[in-house]
Amino acid sequence: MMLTADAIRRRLLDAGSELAVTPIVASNQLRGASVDLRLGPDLIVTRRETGVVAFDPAHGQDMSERLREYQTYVRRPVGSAFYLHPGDFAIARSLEFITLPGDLSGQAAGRSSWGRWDW
Amino acid sequence: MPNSPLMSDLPAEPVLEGDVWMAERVRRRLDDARRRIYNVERHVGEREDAAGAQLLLRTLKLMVAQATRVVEETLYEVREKPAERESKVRTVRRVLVHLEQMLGPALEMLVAPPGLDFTCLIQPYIRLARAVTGDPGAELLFEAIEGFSYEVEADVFAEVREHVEIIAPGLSQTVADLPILGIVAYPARADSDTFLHAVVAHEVAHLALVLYQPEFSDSTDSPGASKSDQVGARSTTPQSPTGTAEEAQASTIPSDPTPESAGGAAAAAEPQEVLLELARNDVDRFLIETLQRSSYFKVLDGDVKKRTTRKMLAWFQELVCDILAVHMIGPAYLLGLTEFLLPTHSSLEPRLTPHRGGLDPEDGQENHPPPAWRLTRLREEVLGFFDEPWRPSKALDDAKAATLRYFALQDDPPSEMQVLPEPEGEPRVREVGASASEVETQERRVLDDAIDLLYPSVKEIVGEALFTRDTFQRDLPLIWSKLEQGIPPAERIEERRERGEPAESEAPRGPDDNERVPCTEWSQPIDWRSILNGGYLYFLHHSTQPAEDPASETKPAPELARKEAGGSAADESDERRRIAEKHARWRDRDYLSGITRGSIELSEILRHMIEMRNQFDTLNSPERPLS
Repeated sequence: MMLTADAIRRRLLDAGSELAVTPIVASNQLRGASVDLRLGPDLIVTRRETGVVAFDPAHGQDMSERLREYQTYVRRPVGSAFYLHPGDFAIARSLEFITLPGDLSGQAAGRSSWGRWDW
Repeated sequence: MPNSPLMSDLPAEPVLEGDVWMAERVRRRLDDARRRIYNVERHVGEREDAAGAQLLLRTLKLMVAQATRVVEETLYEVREKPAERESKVRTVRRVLVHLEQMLGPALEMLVAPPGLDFTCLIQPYIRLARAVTGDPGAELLFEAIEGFSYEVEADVFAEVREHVEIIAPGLSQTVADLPILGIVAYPARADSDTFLHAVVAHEVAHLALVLYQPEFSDSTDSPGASKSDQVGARSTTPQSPTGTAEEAQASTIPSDPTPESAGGAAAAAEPQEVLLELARNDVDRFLIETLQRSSYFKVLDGDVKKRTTRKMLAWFQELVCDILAVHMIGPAYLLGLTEFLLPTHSSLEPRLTPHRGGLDPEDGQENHPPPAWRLTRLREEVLGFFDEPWRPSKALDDAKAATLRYFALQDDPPSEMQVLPEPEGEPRVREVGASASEVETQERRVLDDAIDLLYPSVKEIVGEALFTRDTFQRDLPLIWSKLEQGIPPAERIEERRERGEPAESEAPRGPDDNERVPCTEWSQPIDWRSILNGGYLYFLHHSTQPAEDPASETKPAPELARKEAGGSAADESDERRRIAEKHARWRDRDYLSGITRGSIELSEILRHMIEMRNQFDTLNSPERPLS
């Protein structure tokens, strides 16, 4: 069963429900049967120029070092931009901290509202 | 002088001839200066305190540009007026030397940026500095240093001002009009210890003292007017949240217990002027006033008097900053300061001891009063935050109990916490005997009296940076409840109901789901100081708990276990349990320090986003009327 925005809202307002999505900026983040999440300030970006193309999981220590060489941590101040160029790969986290109770599961899906803006 | 660009280090045989060669070298020096600024500048954009860093760098660039202009003009004059060559060359050298003396220390402030875990505290502390200084343009820079100390340089532009007349006389007024820029250094190794960083509030308080100007009705040129009268007349209204009316009244009464104090002011008029020269800012005058009236002080002579005054002024500033910090940050300041000053109390274990080993809590230093006395003085201030609860709250009771247990632990530390490592280097020579202790008692009494004089002005000094008891008591239960659920306490949802409270009525429905939920306020960010206090007290609540009763039902008590198992086996088991408990406490601290840090970060982001939403009203995805 999918929860409607109303049901999600009720659960969020109930301290005993164990569902938390924090912080929420405005109530219209709850819409339809979903909660709009936002991109957080922390990103891990791959550095292709280091030339690392393969990892061997059999060498754990070596792998973590190579991963560190291959990736770079980027933190963007709130309100500033992060540009993802074609072919780039970045791992980001949501701005919101989420806890789900045992009887719920969530699904993250991309939105295209800004992409369709003015069409 | 490591960075000196004196011409003496130039090669003996120049490539070019005479003045052309000199001009070439001078221009290269100026190019170097520009390059060094650029090298630092390209890394500051990502810093959370970038605004302050860029302000400093822009000022330096302006100074270099101005220096270049002065140098080029002078070099031109060297060519045009050979008779004045010597003096012109001296001018060029002087400009370069001063530029270098200014540039080196200024750039050094930017080469140790704060670590990632400290980042979330930067904007809150900058806001605090703005509030307490009353300067909306004030900025702070943060520096992660290798030493284990917190330090502040209240006026970063002092160095620039010192050299501006030589380097760029035309910029004197511009430099004088720059906003306040302070730099706070914190120990890099404690980067992730959010609780400990409450001590930064003390450094911010130093900024406030530098700028605070009490309304003395003046002063040194009117010997007939006793300053004690002036100070005493400033405020008689008790303003302390913890003070009583009697205490406030006592603060206006001459504090010296001896009859000499009655006629002391006139007799002491001359030395007062001398002592005022030692005062670093206007706040020091409260202590000078009190010293003047003190019989203890009158018996001191010459150098001893000056030395004592200098030490007491330093101590006075520290004590005042402690009080201001508690009023700006709340109980977390005292808890953090205790861990910082008493190595045995760091995380309730000597975790950070190696770099603070040997600091005797009863020993005062040249610039800092004895830690034990300093900490004890603040207890009343801190307990004031728990007074007169506006609503019964288990969280508040628990937090107060944890604080009291922590104080008791400080007074009577368990044996394993009493071991202090020996200080490195030469052993300190301490004054012993009755006379030493008597001197100390007298000094403490004078300092207490001076602080009593200042106390009614504390709220005035703290200004908008005041962290009120009401805010603390309002936020603590919410933070407590969220932490118990493992949720970062970042926002206060006004409509949120606690467990067991009846459900709210159904929200009115409109024709469409999107229209039914209008863009309204959902929550407000929780004050970051409440989060810091809540997280810290929650940690203390769990880590200073006495042995759990339920455990005693399932496991034998240690004493019983020792009898049952006998001798060394039981001791070993106790030791193991103690180590396991210690590790658990460290993990708890790391976890709670982390969740506190994350919550402050989320709360700051929320605050920022609400501001943005209010400004642009389009932060959310585009709203279009549905057909």
